[in-house]
Amino acid sequence: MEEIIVICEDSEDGIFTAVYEVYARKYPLETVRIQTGEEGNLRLFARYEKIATDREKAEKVRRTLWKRFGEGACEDISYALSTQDEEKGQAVFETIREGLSGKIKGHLMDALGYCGIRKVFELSRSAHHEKHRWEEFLRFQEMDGGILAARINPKCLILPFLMPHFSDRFPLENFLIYDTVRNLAGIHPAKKEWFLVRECPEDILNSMILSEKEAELREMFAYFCEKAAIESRKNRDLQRQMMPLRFRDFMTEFQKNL
Amino acid sequence: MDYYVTQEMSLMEKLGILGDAAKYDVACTSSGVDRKGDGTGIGNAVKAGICHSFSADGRCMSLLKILFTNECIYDCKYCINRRSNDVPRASFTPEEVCRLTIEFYRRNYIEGLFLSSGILYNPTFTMELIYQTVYKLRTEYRFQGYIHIKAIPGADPEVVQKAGFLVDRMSINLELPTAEGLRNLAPNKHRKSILTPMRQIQTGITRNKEELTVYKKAPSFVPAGQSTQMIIGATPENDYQILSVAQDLYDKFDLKRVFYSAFVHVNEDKALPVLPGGPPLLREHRLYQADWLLRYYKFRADELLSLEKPNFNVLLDPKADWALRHLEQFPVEINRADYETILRVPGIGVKSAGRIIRARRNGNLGFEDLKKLGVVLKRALYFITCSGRMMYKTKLEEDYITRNLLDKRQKLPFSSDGITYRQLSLFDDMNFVQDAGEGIKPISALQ
Ligand code: SF4
Repeated sequence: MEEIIVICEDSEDGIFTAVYEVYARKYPLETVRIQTGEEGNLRLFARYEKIATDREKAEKVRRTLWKRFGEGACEDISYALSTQDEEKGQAVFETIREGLSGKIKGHLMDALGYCGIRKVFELSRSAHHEKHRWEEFLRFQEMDGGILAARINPKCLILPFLMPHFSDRFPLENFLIYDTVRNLAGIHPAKKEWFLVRECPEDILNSMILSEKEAELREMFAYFCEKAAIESRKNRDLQRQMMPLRFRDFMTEFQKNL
Repeated sequence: MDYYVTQEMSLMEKLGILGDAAKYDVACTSSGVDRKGDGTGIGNAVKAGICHSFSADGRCMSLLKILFTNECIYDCKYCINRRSNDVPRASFTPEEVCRLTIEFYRRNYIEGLFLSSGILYNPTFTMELIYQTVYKLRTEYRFQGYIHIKAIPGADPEVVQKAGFLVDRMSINLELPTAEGLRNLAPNKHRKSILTPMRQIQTGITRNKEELTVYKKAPSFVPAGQSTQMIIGATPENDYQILSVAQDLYDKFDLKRVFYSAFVHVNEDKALPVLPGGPPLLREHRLYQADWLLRYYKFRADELLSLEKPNFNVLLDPKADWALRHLEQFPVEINRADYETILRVPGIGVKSAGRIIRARRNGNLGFEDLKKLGVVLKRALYFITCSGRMMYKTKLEEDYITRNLLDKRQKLPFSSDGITYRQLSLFDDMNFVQDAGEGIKPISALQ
């Protein structure tokens, strides 16, 4: 049978809209492939359908998933979609397809014998892992006026998952986290809800100056870290294994220009 | 409250001295409690804990781990802060500890505070200082992040109790696995004064759990549980003795964690052993692996070791070592065996065992599936079948499997150049241990 390749925007809304259309247009489910972004290598015996993102349709899909599969599975799907993986749209589609078919016993995400579900599970795990890494290694700097600012350069779009963690932790702080890869800013005004700003110029950060006591605090922490190591146990390889170098760009204790 | 404050010293200098002095306490975890912020202060806590950095020795740094003071009236032989040592001394004020904690926490440097202390004047006075500090931090600064404090043996139980309602975790170090060891190396400490507050905290936690089921808003008492630490290799106990003590602590005192700290030689003292290979890190590592097996895999100490075999295999981890001595229980059929049985297969962890059980409800699993579920096949393949078939033709034979597992050169967490040297030195200190062979004394017998 002819393959139908559904092309959509690389975002949760985009992929959910595509899923919506696949069902609404009654495409034969086994022949559909969902692909994000460019058309890539054109296949000969395939039909291409471009789908424009529609928030309302995406929202309907989201509600259905929530109702049918529960919070856990929805979370896994969201995390999987935050990765850069080219196959993520198809994996999520297959997971939804298996789930709606009614043949899965128990929780959807436990059925790891199915390829698509396993893929979503793996992607979700890696995005969770990266989010966790940033919860560990993100560093705020105090700017003039007491604002806390942090830069991150994550592989996945984890900022929306990171913001709730820090907002709960610092309800009384004005803080902002800036994703330098996507020019995306997460902003939390003290005692208010957080929000995201797309296409936020990095200048907003560059224009801020460090608070007066920032340099001393940094130095104190770096000094504390140095003191915490036991000489006769030193093991740089293990340190590197636990804390990959790519995170250190923004980490206070590894910055030389104190 | 009035005590000597080292006025001339800057906060930076104090942090240097009191951070340095606290580093021999190995526990730095921030796990065991989930707590959302209440919106009026700063901080929350995450059940699994969060590391924020790793020190140059590869250990996780999660908490601002400091001593309140390194002044001490005691003279434990292994301790850098002992009375008889001539080292720079410093003390924080409660205010300083609070400020450091908050400023580090705001920058996401740390998950909270781990406050320990040398004994200033007497145990109760010291415990009171610790209490005052965390009281200030919780109430004035409205800090809701993680706090771990030491309960000082011999302190007034009432102060320990008050403090318990403010912190997440408390620990009292057992210091050495046996009472004899304690007598020899920590003459001012007694097994009884260590176990008494441990029991007090345990009782407090149990009672609090009951209160919480009746009244949800009751203040919680040490919600992340208590832990302890033993120094490994300073006294002649073998691994079986140490692990049995740990088992007892888990069974009888409901401890959350037992930590093992390879002895680090900081003082010249004829009562202390000289370990030319440095701290017995591999031994410490094996104890952690075995401890994991006790806590998550339902192994018992006497399944892993015995009077005849009192020390861990240097080359194999305790789980593989156990499996090789119990080949009659293998191979295990992945699509049928129960959870406990699957958990005992080398190469299969708690997570992957759970995934296997859940995934096989939707059809039989093959080796390819297992790999995707996180099973380390190169270790597991000797011990399992999938739908009756083994992955390769292999012999279920101890020597053969041992050779193959070793060929894979399991990665030890030491620098590659350090391994051989440390293994040799470990053999050395194992001889040292065997000479002193003696029976296992459960803690209850020592009370
Ligand atoms: S009580 Fe013993 S271990 Fe603790 S600080 Fe004093 S000398 Fe060191």
